[in-house]
Amino acid sequence: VESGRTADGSHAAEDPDLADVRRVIAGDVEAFSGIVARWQTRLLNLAWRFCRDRTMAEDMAQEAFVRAFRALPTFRAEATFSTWLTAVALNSYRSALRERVPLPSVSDLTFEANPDALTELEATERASGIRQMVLTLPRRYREPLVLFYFQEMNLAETARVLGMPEGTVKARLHRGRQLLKRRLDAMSSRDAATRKD
Amino acid sequence: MDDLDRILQDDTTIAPSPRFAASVMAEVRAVVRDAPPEFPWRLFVLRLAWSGAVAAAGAALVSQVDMSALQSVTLASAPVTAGLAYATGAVFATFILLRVQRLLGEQE
Repeated sequence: VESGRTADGSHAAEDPDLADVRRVIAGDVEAFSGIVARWQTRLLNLAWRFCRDRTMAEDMAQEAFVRAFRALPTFRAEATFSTWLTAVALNSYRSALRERVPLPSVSDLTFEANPDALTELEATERASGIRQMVLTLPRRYREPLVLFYFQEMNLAETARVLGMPEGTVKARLHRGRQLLKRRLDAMSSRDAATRKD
Repeated sequence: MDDLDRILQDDTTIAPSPRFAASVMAEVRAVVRDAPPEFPWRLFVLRLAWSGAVAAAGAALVSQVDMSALQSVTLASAPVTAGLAYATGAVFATFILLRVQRLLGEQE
């Protein structure tokens, strides 16, 4: 940050985030409002995908911003600000989820799992149920899945945020999707059996 | 892209409430306001150096004293003299330390 150059060699002055980071580190606390304005939607929506509760998502995102503010002096321009901030937020969300949220279990979920011949409302409910079902996965699968499908994040960026090799992320995405499909199939079979009865 | 991919990708996006950014900034300002004062590293290092210098000077002085003469005097007048010497030494050391501390405080 001190050198004023980013990873691709361009000047920090061209990047509003790096410029604000430098101003905050120099003691201008109000410069952080620029960072909040640019990243609030992203951090809020990432939190929302981990808890599916709006009030809680706002609390989690606020805490993530405060953590990022405290950690700003540790930011190095070798990483993109986006990756760094998302990683800080993810760490913050992990703590928040450990402390506050009893994550749903598969048995808590009720929706029509079978995609055949659903009304529009049922299809919407099914999609929402499947997104909830992601939260029932073990953390090692849940985090890659949430990040990978979140706002145009690709495999490389997901791997950087999680701090693990791309191959590992790819494997966990694959296993996570398989586990989701298995749970969906089990739910479909259960629903079919209930209908027969 | 299969059905599952599509569902996971097309997730709802929520907008922050109008007070969200202001609330974050209020929290950040509170963090700055409540931050403990920075540790006085400069003063700490300066005083540590002073202590080292005084200790080194003391060690150099002690090494020049003829210990056998000192021992015979101490043994002859022990234990009163020894106690008195320790007490005097302690008072003197305290006085020096306080003096040095005050001098450093004035420099700050």
